[in-house]
Amino acid sequence: MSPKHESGPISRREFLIRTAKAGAVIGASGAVGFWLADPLGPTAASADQQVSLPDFSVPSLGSSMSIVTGPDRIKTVGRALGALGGIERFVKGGDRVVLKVNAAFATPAVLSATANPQLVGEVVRLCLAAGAASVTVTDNPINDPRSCFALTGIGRAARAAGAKVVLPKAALFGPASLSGGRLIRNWPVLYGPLARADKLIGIAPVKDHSRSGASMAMKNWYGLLGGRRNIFHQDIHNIIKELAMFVRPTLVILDGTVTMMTNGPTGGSLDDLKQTNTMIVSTDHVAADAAGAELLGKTAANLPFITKAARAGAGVADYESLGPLRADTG
Amino acid sequence: MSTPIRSHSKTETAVSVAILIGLVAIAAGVIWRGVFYDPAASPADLTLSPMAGEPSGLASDPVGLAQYLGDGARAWGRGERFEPDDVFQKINGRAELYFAAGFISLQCQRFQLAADEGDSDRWTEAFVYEMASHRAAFSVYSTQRRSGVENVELGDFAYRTANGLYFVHGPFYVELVSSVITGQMAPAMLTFGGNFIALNPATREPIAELQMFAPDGLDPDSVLLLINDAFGLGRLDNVFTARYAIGGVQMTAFLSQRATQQEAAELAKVYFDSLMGLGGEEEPADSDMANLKVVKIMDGYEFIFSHGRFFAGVHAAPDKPAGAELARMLHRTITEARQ
Repeated sequence: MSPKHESGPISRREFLIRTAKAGAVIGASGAVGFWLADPLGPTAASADQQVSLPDFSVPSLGSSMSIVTGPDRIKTVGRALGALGGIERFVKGGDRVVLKVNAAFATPAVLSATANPQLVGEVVRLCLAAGAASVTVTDNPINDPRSCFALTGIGRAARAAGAKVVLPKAALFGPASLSGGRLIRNWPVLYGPLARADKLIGIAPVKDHSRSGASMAMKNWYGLLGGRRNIFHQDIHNIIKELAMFVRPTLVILDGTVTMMTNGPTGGSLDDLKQTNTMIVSTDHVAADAAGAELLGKTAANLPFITKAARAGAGVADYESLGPLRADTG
Repeated sequence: MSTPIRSHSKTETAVSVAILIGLVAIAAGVIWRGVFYDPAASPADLTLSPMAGEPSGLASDPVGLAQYLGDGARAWGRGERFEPDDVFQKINGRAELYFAAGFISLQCQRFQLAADEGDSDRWTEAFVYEMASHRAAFSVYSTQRRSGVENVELGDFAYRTANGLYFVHGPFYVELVSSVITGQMAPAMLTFGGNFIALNPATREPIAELQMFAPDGLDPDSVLLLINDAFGLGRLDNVFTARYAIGGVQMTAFLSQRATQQEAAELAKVYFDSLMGLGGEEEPADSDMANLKVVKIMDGYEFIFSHGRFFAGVHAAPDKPAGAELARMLHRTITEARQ
């Protein structure tokens, strides 16, 4: 005999039973969710899960460089990229671009200890205008990352221009080794933002450095290292050389509009700075540094990491051999 | 007899279906976020909140620097303290300079003028380095001192730049660095400095060597203490140097007080030998100064002597007579100091 269907309002007993059942289901769901929750997020790859940094260079474009003078960064970087055929020559439609900026310290942009935020914003804008599918700005700073990206203005400028900003988290690091390297062996590297990237552009200021003599395009890759990387200060020139071999960028933008002449890498006083009005863009980060050294009143020969990197085949120290295209924006 | 089953209204059915769809959508969203994890920072991740909203009291000022702020300035963000094993996280490569001189700790605190509250581009940060001694504090102060700056009457040694104030008080070296040209911030910096000095009594330890540089032709703001590697030579430690202009000739005088007369003599010989090893050529001293050595090297002259417990001389003199004159002056002041 089939159940007899009743119509009409629910009884109190039935309401209480149904409420209890619903509550039990909700409670059980919550308990399962709580059990599965991972507040720390995914962890870093283990030591036996080596990661490999892609080669972001575009060999077909060869080695090229432009050096543009002028006080306005927006104009000089545009002109410098234009001299090399435009950003479109390096960034194609649909590319996922990573900008590795120097956001090392939680200092204001005016002190020139970090990449200039207006410059970062402009490069983001140019990449997106060239059709990039996404632009990610990242760094593993020396100081607290949140403070660095906030107080330098880089985070705000990057987001305003349409980029994503990725702060370093443990899950984004993986152990990597440089083939034949003595220092970069099974060392945590900020791999996450680069894993699915198509192009890598480095953006760094020209600075004095108390250990290495200068901090420029090659030293910028230090911000991809994790762990207790300060130990590499004891062998600073060789770690910069290995970084130059380890990272093969699409392009580097070395900003010598204002150069930190003394008390680097942190500086602190406007008196440490000199208006040098020079923007260097190159596919060769060794050559870029060789040119940037002159803004500090030094030569490649004064900076052992440049000659070491050149000898290791990471680029050329004789930047004039690249026939740099020069211009002045006035 | 079968239990009557209450029939469900269309509304109940619709609500139930909607809830189930919602739950499935939530589950799908969670799975999607997990599979396609986006590490991008949110705008909140990229901003710093001021002290307002953070717990008040010691917990919000763990390093105690906010107490030195005057009226009209307030701490911005949490203070920080660094020890030798983690100070590189704040000052990176510069840490080596402080270690060599005898670093104990670094305390930092950002602050804003009340008028700048809410403007994250206008702030100042105080760095208070506690060093092993007053001499150590003078060393890190002097080796980083900018040139052509304005001296300030504050503490034992002090100067200011367009955006900063730097001073030594006892074993402390203090930097106040602003994100803006000081202007309105300058009085706040001086207030911080004055309060810091008042609340941290320190014994004034005179640095005797500072009085041994003859005043004629001396650039008094150029005197500095090199803890190690003076002139690129590892054994030349604790060397004071000072720039001179004599008869238009720019050169550097140096002196170092050693533990014994023998040590001073040995150091003079070590420096002389190193210069000769680098291709220097000994020149006649033409002087009545005892044990003076003169070396011509790389278009300049080096004058080296020891006098009691002092190792001293002239570095990179482009002109031999001018260098000899400065060496005589230095010898005379050391003689007077020894009496």
